[in-house]
Amino acid sequence: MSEATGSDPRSPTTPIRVVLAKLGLDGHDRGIKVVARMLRDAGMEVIYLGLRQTPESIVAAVEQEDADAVGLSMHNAGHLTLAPVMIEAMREADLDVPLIVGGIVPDRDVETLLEAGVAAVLGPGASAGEVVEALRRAVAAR
Amino acid sequence: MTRRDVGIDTLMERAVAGDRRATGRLLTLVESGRDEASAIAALTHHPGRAHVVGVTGAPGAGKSTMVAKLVAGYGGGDRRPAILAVDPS
Repeated sequence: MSEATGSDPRSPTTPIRVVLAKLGLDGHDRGIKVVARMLRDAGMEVIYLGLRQTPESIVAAVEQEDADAVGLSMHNAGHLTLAPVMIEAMREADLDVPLIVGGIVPDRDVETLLEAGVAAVLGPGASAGEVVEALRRAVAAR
Repeated sequence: MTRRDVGIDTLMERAVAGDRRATGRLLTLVESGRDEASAIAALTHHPGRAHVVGVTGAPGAGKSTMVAKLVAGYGGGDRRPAILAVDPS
């Protein structure tokens, strides 16, 4: 039973499963909690790992939960350092899930993050619709 | 491993070998209720003489605490405890 159609565990009706986390020492978690609710209300399964996660703890959660995407919230100007570290950890673990970054990211840094392999960058003005759409697009494009 | 090019047989082989990603993928399949998921039932014979312990209870009853103690008790030597956590949603 290895035909291509039988190998995809997700039926079209299976909800997208997202792991959300705060990576590193950044303690600003209000935004990501709002995002968790937005995604949940859109029918997704959300696993929020909480504050002070490491690339390793996030990779482990994605593996064990069979997640479709990772969302990181960054509010303390650590994005240029931490996002590439996360990308590298996911590559090393051979995880083919998209990483989406949300939070306070200056416009001039967005391109750098996208080039580093981040699937999408969402700012504080993003509506629930935009957040959900960015997640769906990133998962579909994988 | 990419999601779309791995069959159930391969996933089961990898899960038995200890691949957590493959195990997670199989659990997703079981949850999906799709026809081919029934093939995964073959894995129930695999653990052999493993203890299977179920823990349930009201919120705050101490399930996690109990499981942590169980793992500490079972751990060591060549025993490898595995926790399958279900959070109904």
